Amino acid sequence: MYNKLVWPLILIVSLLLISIFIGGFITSIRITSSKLESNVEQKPSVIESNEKKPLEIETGAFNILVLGDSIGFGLGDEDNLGLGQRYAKRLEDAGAELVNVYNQSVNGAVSGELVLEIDQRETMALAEEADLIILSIGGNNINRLLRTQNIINLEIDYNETLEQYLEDLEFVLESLRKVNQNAHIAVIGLYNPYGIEIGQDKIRLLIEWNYQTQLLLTKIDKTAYVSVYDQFAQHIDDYLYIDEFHPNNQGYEHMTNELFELLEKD
Amino acid sequence: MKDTILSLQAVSKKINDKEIIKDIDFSIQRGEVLGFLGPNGAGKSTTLRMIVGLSRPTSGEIIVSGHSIQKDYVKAMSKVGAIIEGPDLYDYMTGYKNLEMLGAMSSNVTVKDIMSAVELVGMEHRIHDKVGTYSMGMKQRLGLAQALIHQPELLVLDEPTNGLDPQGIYEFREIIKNLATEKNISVLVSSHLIAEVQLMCDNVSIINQGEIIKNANVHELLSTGEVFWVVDRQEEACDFLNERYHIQGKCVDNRIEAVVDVSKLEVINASLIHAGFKLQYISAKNKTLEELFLSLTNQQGIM
Amino acid sequence: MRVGELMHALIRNEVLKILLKKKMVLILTLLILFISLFSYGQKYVYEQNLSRLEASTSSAGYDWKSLAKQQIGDLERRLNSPYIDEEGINSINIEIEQLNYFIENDINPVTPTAARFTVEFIDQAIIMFIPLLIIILAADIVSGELSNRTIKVLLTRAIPRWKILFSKLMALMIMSTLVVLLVAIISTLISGMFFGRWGFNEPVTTGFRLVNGSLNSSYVRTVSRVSYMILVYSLTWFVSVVIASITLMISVLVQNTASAIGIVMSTLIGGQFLQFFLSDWVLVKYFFVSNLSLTKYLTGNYQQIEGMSLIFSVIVLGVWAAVSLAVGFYVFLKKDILV
Repeated sequence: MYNKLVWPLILIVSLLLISIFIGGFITSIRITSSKLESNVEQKPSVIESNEKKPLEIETGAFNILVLGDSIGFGLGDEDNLGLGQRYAKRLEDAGAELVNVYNQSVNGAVSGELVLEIDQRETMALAEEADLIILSIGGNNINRLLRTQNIINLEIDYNETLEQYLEDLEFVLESLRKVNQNAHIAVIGLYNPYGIEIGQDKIRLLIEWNYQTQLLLTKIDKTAYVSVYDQFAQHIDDYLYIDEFHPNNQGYEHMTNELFELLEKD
Repeated sequence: MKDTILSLQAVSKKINDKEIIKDIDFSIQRGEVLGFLGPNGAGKSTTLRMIVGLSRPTSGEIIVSGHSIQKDYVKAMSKVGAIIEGPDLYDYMTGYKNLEMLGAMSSNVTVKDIMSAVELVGMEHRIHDKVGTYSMGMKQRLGLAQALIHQPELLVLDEPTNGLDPQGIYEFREIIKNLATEKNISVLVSSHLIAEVQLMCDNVSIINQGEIIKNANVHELLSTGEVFWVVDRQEEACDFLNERYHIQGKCVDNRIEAVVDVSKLEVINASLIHAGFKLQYISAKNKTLEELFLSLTNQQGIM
Repeated sequence: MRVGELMHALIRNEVLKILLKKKMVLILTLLILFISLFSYGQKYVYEQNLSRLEASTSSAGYDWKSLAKQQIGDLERRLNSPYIDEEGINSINIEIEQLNYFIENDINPVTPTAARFTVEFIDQAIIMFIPLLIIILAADIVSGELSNRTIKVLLTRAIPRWKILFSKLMALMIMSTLVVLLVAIISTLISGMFFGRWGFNEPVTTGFRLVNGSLNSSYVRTVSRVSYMILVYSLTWFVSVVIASITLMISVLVQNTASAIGIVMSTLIGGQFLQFFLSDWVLVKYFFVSNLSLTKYLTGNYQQIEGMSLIFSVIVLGVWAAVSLAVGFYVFLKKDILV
């Protein structure tokens, strides 16, 4: 029974599997290392590409440049205003004549992408003429860590991520200063959208992150750190959009308040 | 030379700078049963292990049926069946399965070969039971069967009757003698049971402290004895014995001492008397293997 | 009988011995136990999370679909950005594809499925649990024959010693392959039973590359779940083969099976602790235990260490296996059998 049935079965099945596994093994190596030419399929962009209009910057007006991620963009703002517009409105209410808002934020951007963006001619041109630069970045860098289940390497991972972010942020700030020595640069701090559930360890990391951002800003003059952590923690239910991540009207309005008070009262 | 089935030439083994086997030579002819005797620790098992390839000699050659164990292992071992301090077989398998599995490792073992080996050792009734259920005697028989299935020319048996009762020992002995005489298989048996060796073997080699100290023919040993006559006219009697029967006698005091084939003693005595000698006293003592063994090994002590 | 037939018979014998010693039964039992536990655990956690989410959301209830749609909207806007490069375009398109799949098939992306479980399980298990199964298989392959002395009857045959050990090695390879198959089957079946979902049609992203120390997504692409599973299990198979080789060597060196098991297990466990020094102490990355976790290179679930990539780990493991086999064979061939 063994010789005639079981053994041939074992032999054939295992030889078959071995060839499959060897194939899979080789493929895995190729996927992670060698050059694959026809892999990056240039799928047509899901949306037709925009035509870029040449930028006209008014020099007599008060120019606000918003850079960074979805919070800079204003995602979650039910009135579709965002930080830049809301701040402009404040200025106008207070008597300013002409305020322009230029928003170069990109949803989901991480600090590395901002570094690339900073190099573009268009952004540099806008930065040169800006009177106020509002910066929101870092949330997407740290978000992965706040959500991860892998706690074993969390510290190490966090340290690397933080280091990279601070490097990027410093580069961005110095690049901005190079072309514009006068504009105020306001950096929006991070808040905790998840509540106490994520645990003390992760909250500590988030607070530390904000602290490091603050520390970095002291190196460059005419910068301001806008802290929103505490108030968002107190009003977590009121300030968040239905995606429970981005701010809503009230959240953005609160941020604008903070910004306004910080900058206008000095 | 074709009839020399096994030959050891200047074989030595050193372990950690200590020579445990010193330069031994012996050989076995076709159909011969050689007993390997020695006290515990003499080197019997070591020597046998070297013959079957379980250990390596430090120097010397071991040749089986014209093939060197060291250089031509496969050809040499294909003619050898062995039980080494066993029997140790797979006890989670049946006796038959064990034999089948081991038989598959040779190129010429058929089901017929297996069954005839089983019959030879008398295991037909229990061969399909798991070896774990066997008694010692059954395991020994199975052990012998596995040594026989590939039609060897030489059997190397290291303490094969360990743990057998007298009946079992007797049966084992008969099988071995049968194999030697009817199938012309040579057998090398090592044992410390002198009586067994005496009954089973044609020749013995006595080993002590790694050296072979004596080779003897069992038949001669058993049949010859130390004899002495007390006769008148000693010297004449001595010459008479020498001329007629080629007996080398030694005249010691009033005795003529000689080593004589004891079965012929009657005839010798009768002719002495017939020749007119007056026989006063005759004494004959058989040497036993045991005596020989003890005397030889005691002289040197045990290693 | 030609040489090939003899080797075939030897391997057949060795596999029979493994089967008769009921190793596969033990392995199967352990697998079923562990995987049931894990599946149950995951299902439990998922259901807890789900009820918590539903309880805490205010009015609309947990609406993953509109969330997913919004995520797609964000991604599309990013595609539109003039600053995006090729790498970004590629990975964004893939994310959009995945999200569309979930929406079209009405699957909440965090729902556990059998297909995903099978891969996640291996990702965790490949470091210790899988090697444990292989050790059970391999540890007594030589030392067992020494301790019950059957090695004598095996070696006093007209077969050179290396062929005997080689047939044992081949038997181990064959059975290890079957063990990997068993893991795949059992984990799929049991988790499928627990979750009620197979999930083999979901697209999967893989293809993260390590370029200049950071994760590069430009070669990322989608593959089907089944192919992904095959890739992951192929790497598992490679790890199993390596562990089997190393265990074979230990089995040859150590007469006693219990010691053999102890040695290999403590090496695995000790190696885990060494991982903490991975980023500081250069030598650690050349230790085989540090490189067992091959599947993480595919799942992207890890943190980059300088110089470590799939190719690197594969080479390290390969060298360890080859050296172990060389040592094992050498010792076995020269050894005096004294039992």
